[in-house]
Amino acid sequence: MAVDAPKQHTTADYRRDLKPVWCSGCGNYGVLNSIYRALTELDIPPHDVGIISGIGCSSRLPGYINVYGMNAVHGRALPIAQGLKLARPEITVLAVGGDGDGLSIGMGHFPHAARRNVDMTYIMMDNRIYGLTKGQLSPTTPKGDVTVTSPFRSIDTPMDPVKLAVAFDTSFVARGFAGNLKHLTEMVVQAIQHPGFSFVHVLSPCPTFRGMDEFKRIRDLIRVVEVPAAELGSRDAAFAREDADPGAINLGVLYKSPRPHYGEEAQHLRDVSRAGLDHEPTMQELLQEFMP
Amino acid sequence: MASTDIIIGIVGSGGDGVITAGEFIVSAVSSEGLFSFMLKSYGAQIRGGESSCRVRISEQPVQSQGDEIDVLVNFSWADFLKFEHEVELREGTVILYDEDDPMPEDQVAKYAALQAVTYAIPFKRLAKERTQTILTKNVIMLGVLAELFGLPARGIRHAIARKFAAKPGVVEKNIDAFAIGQEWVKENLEKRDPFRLDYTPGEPKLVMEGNAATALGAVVAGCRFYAGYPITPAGEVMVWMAKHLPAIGGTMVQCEDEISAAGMVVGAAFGGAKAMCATSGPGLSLKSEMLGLASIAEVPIVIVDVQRGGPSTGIPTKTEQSDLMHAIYGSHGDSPRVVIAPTDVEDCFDTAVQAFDIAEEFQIPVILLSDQFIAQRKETVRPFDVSRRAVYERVKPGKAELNDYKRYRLDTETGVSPMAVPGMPGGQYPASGIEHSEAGDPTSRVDMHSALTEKRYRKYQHIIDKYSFVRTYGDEDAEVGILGWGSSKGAIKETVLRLQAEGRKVHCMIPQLLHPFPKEAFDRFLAGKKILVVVELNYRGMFLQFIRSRCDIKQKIVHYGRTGGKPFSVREIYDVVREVL
Repeated sequence: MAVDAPKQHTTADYRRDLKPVWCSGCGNYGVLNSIYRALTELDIPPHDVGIISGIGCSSRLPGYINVYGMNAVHGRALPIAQGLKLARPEITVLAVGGDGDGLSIGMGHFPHAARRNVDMTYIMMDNRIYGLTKGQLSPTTPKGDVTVTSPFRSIDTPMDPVKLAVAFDTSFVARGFAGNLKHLTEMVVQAIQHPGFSFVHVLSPCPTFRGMDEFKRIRDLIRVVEVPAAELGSRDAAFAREDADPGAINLGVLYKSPRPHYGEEAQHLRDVSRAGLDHEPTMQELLQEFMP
Repeated sequence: MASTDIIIGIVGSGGDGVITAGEFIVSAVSSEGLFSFMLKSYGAQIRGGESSCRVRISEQPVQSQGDEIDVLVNFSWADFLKFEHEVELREGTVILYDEDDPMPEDQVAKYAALQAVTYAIPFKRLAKERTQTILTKNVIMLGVLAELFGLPARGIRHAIARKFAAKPGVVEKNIDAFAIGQEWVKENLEKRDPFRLDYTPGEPKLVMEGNAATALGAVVAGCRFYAGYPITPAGEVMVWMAKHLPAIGGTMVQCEDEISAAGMVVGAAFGGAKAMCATSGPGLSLKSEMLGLASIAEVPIVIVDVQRGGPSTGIPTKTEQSDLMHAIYGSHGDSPRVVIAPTDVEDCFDTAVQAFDIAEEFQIPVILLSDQFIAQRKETVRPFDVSRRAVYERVKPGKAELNDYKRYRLDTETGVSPMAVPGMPGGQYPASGIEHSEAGDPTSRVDMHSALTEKRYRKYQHIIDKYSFVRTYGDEDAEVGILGWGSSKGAIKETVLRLQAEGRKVHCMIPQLLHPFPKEAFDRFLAGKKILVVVELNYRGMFLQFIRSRCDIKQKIVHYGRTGGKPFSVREIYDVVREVL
């Protein structure tokens, strides 16, 4: 990371003059700030960044950042973001959204984005609740919790996004906490720098529907881990680490599976398909294929 | 009797090489400069099962698959009986069947009544004894056809050599098999039928299927990004793109589902690329939400819907024109989009180019409403110009405009506001499916929703003004008018030509732009007509309902609509029109 070179941009360049709809105390402010800071640190011109989101509180984020953004369709940030990146490889592309957007309605896209390994970053802001629709249980709501749609208690088993990402062999998996801006920024920076599909699970508390003490409750459970490089490629180690202490939440870079990303593979296909040709096929040549 | 227009049907089981044989004929006659038109029909089986094809060959351009079969090759009576409703035979038809599989007793009377000329031919035995494999049976059959009916032998040998070019031994074996068929006829058969193809060879022509023509049109228009999900009968578009896009610097992505494919296309188009996906009915249902997004976020995308029998899974391998309402209206909210329909194979190329032109110029989603009948048939097409006449690019903001950039500026005449693309300094904006201000900020203000909706719909009149292509045939001052759309054009046009040849006056119109509705063109057509015949391949009468909702129709209406599966024949349309003419 070229931290010593003079920066061309400050966080002010990434701010957009629109007041977020988020409640006061929402974790999403921390995530937004971490993205401002990460882009500043990486010194990427705002016009070279695309941020795509689905629907939900957290998916409002593209409106608050001075880049090319799209607040799209519920659950579909990943396909749109991949399309953008594959059509415009020089653009830095992020997909952002919540736990409901990414793990419920849009879950089908997550393993395929991991499998395809397009060079982009997916930041999941997990508040363990549907906030925009006012407090329904989400795929990460702890079992036993009371919500408006589980008035007696939730009988659904929650998912762990990090374990899922590891199971999908996501090429970069990290977890951060909206209340630890410095560490979260570092995670986002590393994720963007990672060549391939990178996933950052962010604990982003919702004080409105999960209580004012959610920040404190999470702060008491987190532990920043430095996974040794030799262990980063092991799925077994990643699962074991997650399961080791049910009372603890690991923050840090938790798994890596480096391999050529989709854009590189697609370029390879282009080269292979042109093998033996001294020029790109012309339209007239494509038409000739239809000659009997 | 010399024939300049002959229809050959071939029926058999999977493995009989029925389709390959049909393709050899199409390739052969096209290389000799003749016109041809080939339809395939399968059962639902993946491999094996019954399959059939019909090939029409003519010196003149052919508009349709024609009416009854002149010559039927029947490898299996059991399979043939499954296609009886699709393969209609003419009086005096010629039937060639394998001596191993004689005509069933209960069918004899029927074909005697038809005065069919039958030849029992040892296809299987010749293949086994002379080439040591039954795989050559279809090529031996082609040798028989070439000798018996004057199909171009040189062209068939050329087609065989081309098809098996990568397998040298196979070429020789099949060329031999072809000669075996020819010889057998010379030595053993006395011709008892009148059919013999008579033609003057001309310049070679192209052989295309609609799906490939659509894909080619897209790349000629500048499409370099394709995302798809496998679905019948649209699959060939993705296969073509997978093969050709990389070499011209593009990207083809096979997606996890239909929604993802549409999403990728929206993302790529947002990024400035010309992007497309192709699907069929069930896929269009799944893409409806993305269609709404492209509509409100004003992202230019092209979605090809190759219609098939519906609803739900319906008849995936067969044609229907029953997605019209879905294409025009299928989305929640006021969601403008454009629907255009190709009418034949070459038109798939033209409309694909136009779809991109409209999408880019007006920043609106365009649905290309093709169907299985056009998409999967093989047709001879005259070589055409693929160098672009003009390439339409979306309007981008200039430097001055970027000082205070409003992506969704309201004050434009056409409703089209300049669209910045990522990488353009100063053009950053949030696009959204949520209603927004001119700058792109989310809003729930009713006045903005009203103004922005009006802006998005303002494009319609300009699209109609620029892209109202309609085709008309026949006599403008006729009292009887025929209206149809899409793939029905062939049978309608041929009906008109047949009626004109009989000295009858009739006029027809086939619009390419279906939505927004080119009302002026319809009103012009309706003026002076007393009777309207509306033809469409769906049960509900969607096209008629749509026209009725837009035009004040005073004429007597004869609606001829039926469910799909089988495309219209000329005879069918002719009979309907003759009732009122």
